[in-house]
Amino acid sequence: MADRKKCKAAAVATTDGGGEDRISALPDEVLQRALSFLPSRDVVRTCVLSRRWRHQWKSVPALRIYAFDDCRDVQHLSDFVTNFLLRRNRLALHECDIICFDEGDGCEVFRENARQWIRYAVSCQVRVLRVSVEAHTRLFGAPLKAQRLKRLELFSVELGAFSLDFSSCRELEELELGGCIIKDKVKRILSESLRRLRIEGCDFFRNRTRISCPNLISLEITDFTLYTPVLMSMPSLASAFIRFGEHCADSCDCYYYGEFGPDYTGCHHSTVKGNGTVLLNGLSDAIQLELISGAGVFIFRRDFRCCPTFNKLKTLLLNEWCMAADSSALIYFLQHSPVLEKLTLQLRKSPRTMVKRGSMNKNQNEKFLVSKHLKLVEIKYCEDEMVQQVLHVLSACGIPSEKIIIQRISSWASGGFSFEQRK
Amino acid sequence: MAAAAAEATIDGGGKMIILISADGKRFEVTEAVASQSQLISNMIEDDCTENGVRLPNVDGDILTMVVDYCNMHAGDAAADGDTTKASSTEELKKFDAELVQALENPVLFKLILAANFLNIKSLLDMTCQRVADMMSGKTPEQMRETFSIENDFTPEEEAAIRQENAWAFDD
Repeated sequence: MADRKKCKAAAVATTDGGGEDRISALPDEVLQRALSFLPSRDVVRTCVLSRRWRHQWKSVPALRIYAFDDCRDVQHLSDFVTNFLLRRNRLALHECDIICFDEGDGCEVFRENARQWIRYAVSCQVRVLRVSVEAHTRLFGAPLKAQRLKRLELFSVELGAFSLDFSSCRELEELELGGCIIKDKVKRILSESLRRLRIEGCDFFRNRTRISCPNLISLEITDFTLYTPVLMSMPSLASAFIRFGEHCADSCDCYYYGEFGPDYTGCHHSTVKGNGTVLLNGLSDAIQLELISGAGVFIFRRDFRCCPTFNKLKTLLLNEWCMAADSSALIYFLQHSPVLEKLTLQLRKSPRTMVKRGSMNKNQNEKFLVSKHLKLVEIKYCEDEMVQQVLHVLSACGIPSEKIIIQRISSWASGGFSFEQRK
Repeated sequence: MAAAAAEATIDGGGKMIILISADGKRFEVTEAVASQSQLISNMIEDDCTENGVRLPNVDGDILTMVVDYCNMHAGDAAADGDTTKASSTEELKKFDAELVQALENPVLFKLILAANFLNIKSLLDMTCQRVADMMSGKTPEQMRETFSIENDFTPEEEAAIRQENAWAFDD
């Protein structure tokens, strides 16, 4: 109560906003929390502000190492961090950032340092670890054993052998990989506890890395190159977004033109071994799906042969790949999504060979029921020819025109996909 | 009135409870909204909110901001991975950005103390981040000026501390 009176008196005295030192009056824990958002170098420098601040920096629950152009050399950075860790109280770390864009000539030294800093952070039970380097540095040799780690973000890191085995990180819930090289020896990305996984612009060198994270609720894999990873079962998956990169190895012209049957093996789609699916079985429990691909990518069409069904799928977004080769992908999803409520088609440009309407007859003869729950089909398109074909398919599937909304997009910037609009 | 309100429910929001600020202002909120405060959430679990929750160290003007914040953010804890709420996420970001930008000394620090006392982690993080932004890139002299921190070191003491931590002041 006395505190409150003091506080109120102070408030009256400073209604014009200035004058009173309120930051120094914060409790230690709150002050240290505020300091934990600053780069570690700035944090140490608060030691000269006043007596109150003399030792605050030592208990700040974060290690934030940023080295940009002002980092004179690796040795300089290393000296700073060594001193910081030596003098800091060895308290738990909530967050650790290691963000270095200019390693210069000291790459080898930097790599060894960074490994040591990560070990320190792990030994302080770090909850959030963020590592971003410039030159695809290999930082993790063995599986990470960070028992309290909740979120891990790695950018431009090279990942080898067991580096994505998180079975010892039992509290890990979120993993983000951006621009990483996932080497040939990475057999699987493994975590029982992981809830959210985001992989953006990474290179998958292995034919094929398995993603074995059975408790995922959210998955994004976008703009990757080389080999599409294999998704294992994910029964709790709420939403998934897959967008193939332009340099995906799983693409070939025979699918692009739709001229060959599914058994055609004269191209390198034989890189997919075994009988299981690559993506679609893993995605079959999703409630919301966005699948963006080039028309030549054969992964989905190959997966269809295993007949996955999408029993929980309510919202589906596809782009023009679903119209290639007889619109067979579009028809497949309509046939195998019994509770689908909303379908969005984003048709930027035609696959080079649009199939003539006559060839629909075969499919038309196979009667099937589209989801009774389907409320809306939204079509965004650029070329008239394309929309005609879609409407033909939808009508052949018995979808009434009042459920279809058509919107012509005149200029289709890269913001055409829903996820990009969200940001 | 409080008893009647405690019985009342609104669509999908569950039971209502009353928060009472230091200066006696009353705020009626749903349990779901109030539960973002870990302190109040514990009180709800212990079933001791029936006659209203008195918050003797939070002023009415600050509690207004806290309640606005909690009203806006109700439900995002439950959303957990649900990407269908995309548009409201956008609104929230805008709301937070405007709130935080408008915060100045002394309201900023009062709000921090309230968030700390009520134990609302996201609000505490957001306001602490604002303080960090105000410190970022400043020299110690500039920081003292920004926050009216009085330097109680003698020049000799300050020089000695800089010397001792020269590894952090060497550029």
